[in-house]
Amino acid sequence: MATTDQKDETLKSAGGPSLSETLLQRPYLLFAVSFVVLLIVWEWTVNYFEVDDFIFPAPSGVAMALLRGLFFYDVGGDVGGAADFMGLMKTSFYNHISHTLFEAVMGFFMGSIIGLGLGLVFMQSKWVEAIIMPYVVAFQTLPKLAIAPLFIIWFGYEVKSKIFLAGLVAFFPLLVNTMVGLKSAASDQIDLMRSLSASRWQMFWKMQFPNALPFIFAGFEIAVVFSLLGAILGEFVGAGQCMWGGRGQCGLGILLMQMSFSSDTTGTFAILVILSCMGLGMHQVVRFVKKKVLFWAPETDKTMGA
Amino acid sequence: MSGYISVENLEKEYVTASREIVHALTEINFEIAEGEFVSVVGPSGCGKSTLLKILGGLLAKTSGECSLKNTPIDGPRNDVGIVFQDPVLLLWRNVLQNTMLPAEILGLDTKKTLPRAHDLIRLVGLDGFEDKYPHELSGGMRQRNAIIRALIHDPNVLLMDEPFGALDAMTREQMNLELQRIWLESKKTVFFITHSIPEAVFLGDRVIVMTPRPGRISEIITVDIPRPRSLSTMGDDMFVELTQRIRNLLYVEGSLD
Repeated sequence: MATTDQKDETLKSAGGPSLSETLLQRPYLLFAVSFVVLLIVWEWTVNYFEVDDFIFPAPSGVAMALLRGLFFYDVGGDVGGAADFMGLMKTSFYNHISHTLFEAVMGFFMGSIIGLGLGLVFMQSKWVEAIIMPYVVAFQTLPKLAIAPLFIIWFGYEVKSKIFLAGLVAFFPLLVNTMVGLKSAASDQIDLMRSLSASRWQMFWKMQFPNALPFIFAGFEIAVVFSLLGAILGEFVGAGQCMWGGRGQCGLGILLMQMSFSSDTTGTFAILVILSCMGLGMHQVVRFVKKKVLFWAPETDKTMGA
Repeated sequence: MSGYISVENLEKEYVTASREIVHALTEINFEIAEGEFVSVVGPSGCGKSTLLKILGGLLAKTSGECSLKNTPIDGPRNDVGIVFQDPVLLLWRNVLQNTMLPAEILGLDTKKTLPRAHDLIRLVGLDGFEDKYPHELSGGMRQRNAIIRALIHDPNVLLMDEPFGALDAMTREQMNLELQRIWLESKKTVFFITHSIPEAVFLGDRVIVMTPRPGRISEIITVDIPRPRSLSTMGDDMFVELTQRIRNLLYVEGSLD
């Protein structure tokens, strides 16, 4: 803050800030302007070189597809027709979004709570850690795409398999970050607690666990993004029937597949826009909670175990 | 063994990762009377922190005797308070909560300790900051918080391991005055480790001068300067003479190279 203030003053003394200087001081404004410029250049380039929508759609087309899907219950538009053999393009985006969001959020809670819990257990007992940890690491090194079909067999095509898959990918960052966090207590802190003859329980709750919280929240931040990935992955392999209205299968993953089958690149772009907004939104929620809980922690990125 | 704290023929050896034996402390003998303020000065690696940890029951000795109130020190005990070089405040606790930490862990009656905590907070001038968190405090305030935390359970002995090492010179002098005042009011027995020769002389009734490799006591010097001492005391002939004598001891031993 201090440096920007200083810069501000030197600029004023130099006779009023120019446009570029004003923008540099407001990163959000700078981004907004550059984003608009990007869209214009993109639009113009696509039109000028007459690039086919199928190869690379113009932003106006993507925006239209987005609006149609969100407000008019008819996603596929012109290219739908015969290619839309499952009828899911006649289902509003909201149905797809709600399924994917539900799977990702449920998976996030399940996976991260189990990861957090196991991390706590492992740090209490070297025995448990030595026996179970190798399986966990081996499991983590497996490509999740390879496990997805198994999950469909075990847990069916409905949301359950997607939740478990999302949970699986959310699990590991929490496990690792919890373990690293619990080990992060400084030797001075341990000495302090020991000098007071603190019990193991007091040592844990009054010192070790709060100390681990910044690491645990870094884990949540990674896990929330991963869980969305897990849900989409599960839907690629096999999506379930719509639960809350709509025809056929529901989920942004299956919709994405469907659009790819029907060569609807514009629609694919629209879904990608939705997915990135969902990812950002979920991440922002976690960051908000983190700021509330970790008001005492210096702002550092303790990100690991991705 | 007649002293309040008494250390006899204390030895401490470490085995390093490469299986070498390091003599951290050898032939350590001294006694501290009740209510006495003893400073320990010496360069890094002279084993003074090791000595403090042994007195605090945080580290096991290799051989020799070590006792407090005629009972051997073989583990952490409730009648000792420790102040570390870093304040080691818990970041998620405010000034009052950090001060109360030992009381909570020792299961003391809050009705008695809470007023005491407020008294201590007033004693070190932290009143008005009770609900501030460590990241909102200055270095000096944090260390004051750490000192009153070590006092909350009213221990007889205060062990201080370079508590002002990380502070700037001005804050440090303020803290020296403040510590003297706290000590004069509370009459604790203090074992105070420092790098700074003037600080050791200013605060101590006696100064233990230590030299490294292996860590041993070079001399124990009595500081016969009346209390309360003020910052101008540092200009007195006696003070200058004593600091010069300690400096010579450390240079003669070749430990300040």
